[in-house]
Amino acid sequence: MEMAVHELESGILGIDLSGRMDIVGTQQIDLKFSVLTSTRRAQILVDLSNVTFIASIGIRTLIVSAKAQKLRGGSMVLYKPNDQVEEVLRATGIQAIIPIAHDLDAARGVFGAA
Amino acid sequence: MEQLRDLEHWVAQLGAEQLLSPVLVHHIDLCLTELVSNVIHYGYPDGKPGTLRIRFRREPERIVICIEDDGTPFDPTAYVPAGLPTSLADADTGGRGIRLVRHFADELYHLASAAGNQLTLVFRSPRPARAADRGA
Repeated sequence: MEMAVHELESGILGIDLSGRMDIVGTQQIDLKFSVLTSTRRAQILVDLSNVTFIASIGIRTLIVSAKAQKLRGGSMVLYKPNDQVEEVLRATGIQAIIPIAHDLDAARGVFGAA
Repeated sequence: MEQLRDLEHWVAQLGAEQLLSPVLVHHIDLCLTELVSNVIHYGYPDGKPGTLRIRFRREPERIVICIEDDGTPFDPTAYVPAGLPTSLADADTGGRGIRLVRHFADELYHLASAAGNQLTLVFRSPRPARAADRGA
């Protein structure tokens, strides 16, 4: 997997993930992702549009980071997962605890409400 | 865990050869990834080498996949997943793999034997279009 980081407008931290989020792929980004999402308060937009596959280990990484960020007073939004990835996320009820957004306005709304 | 890449390629090849829909290929890929990861992680706690075999059978309207391993007995059909999370604070961080398998496989059977585990997954699948039909 690969990961890219950039500042979006209004102080939102964008993290773009790409590739296959199974055990092998998740191990490649897990440490960097955890440090980025857990060590300071932030509004984090995790762009999943280029994630082609997600398994339970990938969902675990997202939840661990979202929990850590919430403890710091920040928040996380999952952005533009493809149909297959979103189907897996919803099968585990993740949308109830980490919002999923398909456009930036919706994501901004989540951050504004958090 | 590099075997997971071989598994991914095997499933993709299977899907192409059997004219399976991308959605069905994804469901098979996910279930096998979860189950094989479980066996590799938990099936051989003492580090002894083991063998895992996956067999595929196409029936008229379903796909049958059998996973056999000689690791620690584990019956995923008896495992009760935790309920869906209602808050981030209360959400478990793990334990979602078996839930995903149960969600995406249409049927799941486990048979324990002296040799280990035999797990059978069934995916309902429409009969693929024949070449003559596709050309019609």
